[in-house]
Amino acid sequence: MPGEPHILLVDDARDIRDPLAAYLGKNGLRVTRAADAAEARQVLAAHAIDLVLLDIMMPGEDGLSLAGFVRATSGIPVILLTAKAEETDRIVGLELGADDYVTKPFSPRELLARIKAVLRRTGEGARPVHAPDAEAYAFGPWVLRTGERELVGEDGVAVPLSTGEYNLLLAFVTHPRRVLTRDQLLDLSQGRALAAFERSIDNHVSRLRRKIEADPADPRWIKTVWGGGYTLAAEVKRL
Amino acid sequence: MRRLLPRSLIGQMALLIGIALLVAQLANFALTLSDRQKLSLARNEGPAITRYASVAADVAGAQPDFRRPLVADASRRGAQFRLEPQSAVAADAARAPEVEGRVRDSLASNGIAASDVRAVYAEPRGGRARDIRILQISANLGGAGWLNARLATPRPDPWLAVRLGVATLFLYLIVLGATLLLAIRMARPLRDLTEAADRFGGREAPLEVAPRGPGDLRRAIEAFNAMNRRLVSLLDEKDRMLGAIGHDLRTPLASLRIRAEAVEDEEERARMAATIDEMAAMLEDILILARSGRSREERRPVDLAALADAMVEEFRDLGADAEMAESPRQVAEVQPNLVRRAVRNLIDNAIKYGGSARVSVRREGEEIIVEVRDHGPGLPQDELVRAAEPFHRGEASRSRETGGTGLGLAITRAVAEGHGGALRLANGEREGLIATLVLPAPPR
Repeated sequence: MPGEPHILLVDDARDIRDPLAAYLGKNGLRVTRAADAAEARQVLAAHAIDLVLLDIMMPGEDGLSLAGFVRATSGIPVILLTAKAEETDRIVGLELGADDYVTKPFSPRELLARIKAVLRRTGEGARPVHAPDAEAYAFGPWVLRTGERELVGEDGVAVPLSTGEYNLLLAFVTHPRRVLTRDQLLDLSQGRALAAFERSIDNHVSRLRRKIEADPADPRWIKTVWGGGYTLAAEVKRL
Repeated sequence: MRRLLPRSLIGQMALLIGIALLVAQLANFALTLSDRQKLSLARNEGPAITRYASVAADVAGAQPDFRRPLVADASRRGAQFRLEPQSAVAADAARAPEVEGRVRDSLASNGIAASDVRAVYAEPRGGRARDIRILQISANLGGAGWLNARLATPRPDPWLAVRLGVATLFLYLIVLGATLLLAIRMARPLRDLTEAADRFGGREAPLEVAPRGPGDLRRAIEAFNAMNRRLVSLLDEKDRMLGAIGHDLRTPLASLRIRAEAVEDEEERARMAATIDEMAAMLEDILILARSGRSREERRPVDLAALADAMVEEFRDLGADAEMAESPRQVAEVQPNLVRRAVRNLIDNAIKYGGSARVSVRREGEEIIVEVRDHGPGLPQDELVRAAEPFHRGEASRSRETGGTGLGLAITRAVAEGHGGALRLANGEREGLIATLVLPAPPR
């Protein structure tokens, strides 16, 4: 059936593979199942896949290695199914640039929504904003570490950020010296489709300034552009 | 006084052995000295006293007319005898009582009872001979008058006491030194052992203490190392088991969660999803609590005020009533993810049971205080103590309705204690619960 996005679902657990494939199939997706990495590679070679759903913990070649292969050989987006939330942030942020992830047990509806969001973004040719392309970004006296989602100052002290602050700052460091309007910032920082991000950009900018500016009243790094929005006035180095 | 006494093994040993050895050596020194002095008296003054006694016996036994020639005849080879009406030794001179006693004994053994015996040392006339001194003896022989004699005797070794003292001190130092060496050899491995036991947290690879010192200690250290290895492997096994349980339970839960979506009745479906989510949350809490003592997360310097602020912000983003008081930067070396969870649990509790959370971070002395207050009813006194016990649930009014696993505070407490801190629960003056995460502050 042309028009239906083709999803490759890789999971060693049949108990997840089968009902999930059935659920996604009922919701307008074409699903091909694979029980391990080898089978997945065959499917990838034989079919035009739009998105890979990938379990991390699998016997034999694990999901991370397969995700790396997919990233390296194609532009196919990857969503990871993981067992441990704490470890995944790191994995996703640091090594792979996976487009998104869900933690088991996940709500199938939420997964469906994320699949659609990722497909929409890829369809528009947009870089997935959730995936930082470096381990860390250095600007001014600060280093933003994507794995730990925190800022580290020159004295080595980590300044933890909330999800909203982190996403906003990530948007700035991935677009340095560019004027970003409030709408653009909202788009860029809503990486996770369903993340609640209702409070205003201005509010988050002022919170960020309190954390990174020596004098928040006279900001040196995040500058307000009159009538336009905000800009990060710094060279950003990818580390 | 008590403070002055050393507490360590090596200190106590050194002190005790030092004192005991000192007393013993001093006694030994005194005995030897007196012995040697007696010996020296017998050897140096003995011949002179015998000669004096024999001359005295001759004089006493001779006719009065023969006494003078006898005395004159005896005066040779370093001796000078005179018969005089008075003693040549003044009664109040610095007399040598030991010599007098011996002269008296010697006279008595020759059958002479002298009514008065005096002896004194004098320097030789002209001061020629260094190793000679004059022994003056004077005894009242009754009818014959006083027999005064000047007898040359060898001078006793003037350095006797000093030489003996040096020898004693030398011995003292050698024995004390050997004892200290032994004590140090014992104390060092003991200290290593103590340090290793102190540092052992079960987190890292087993701490090996290098076996050294005497054999018994060596064996104790080897036994300690073996125990450490067994402990670590037990803890590793626990981790592997928990990990396996976590993974193995999560997969069927995930499967169930997907299948639940097929349930037609919307209300039923929502309830099933909620139950599964609760099970998953509980599973995660159990895993975290069980591993909290051995988290492999590294400690890094973190601004705890910013950390609390970020957590509050997450809750605000979800629409909860949480607020962060203006708090200055407070840096401490912590495991950020664990502390994040500890703080999140406190805020979560405050919102769930108290309706709101007011968070502040400050330093008090050597502690960093992360305080979370709510506006709820607080806790009865006995609950304050038990609230942080694993799986403890409050009274019926606060039980399952509100959800949660009953592990939140237990996790917070475990994290606090893992950092050398504590979790404190108290009721506010007017209302609400004050939950405080206390972490040790770095030295200023």
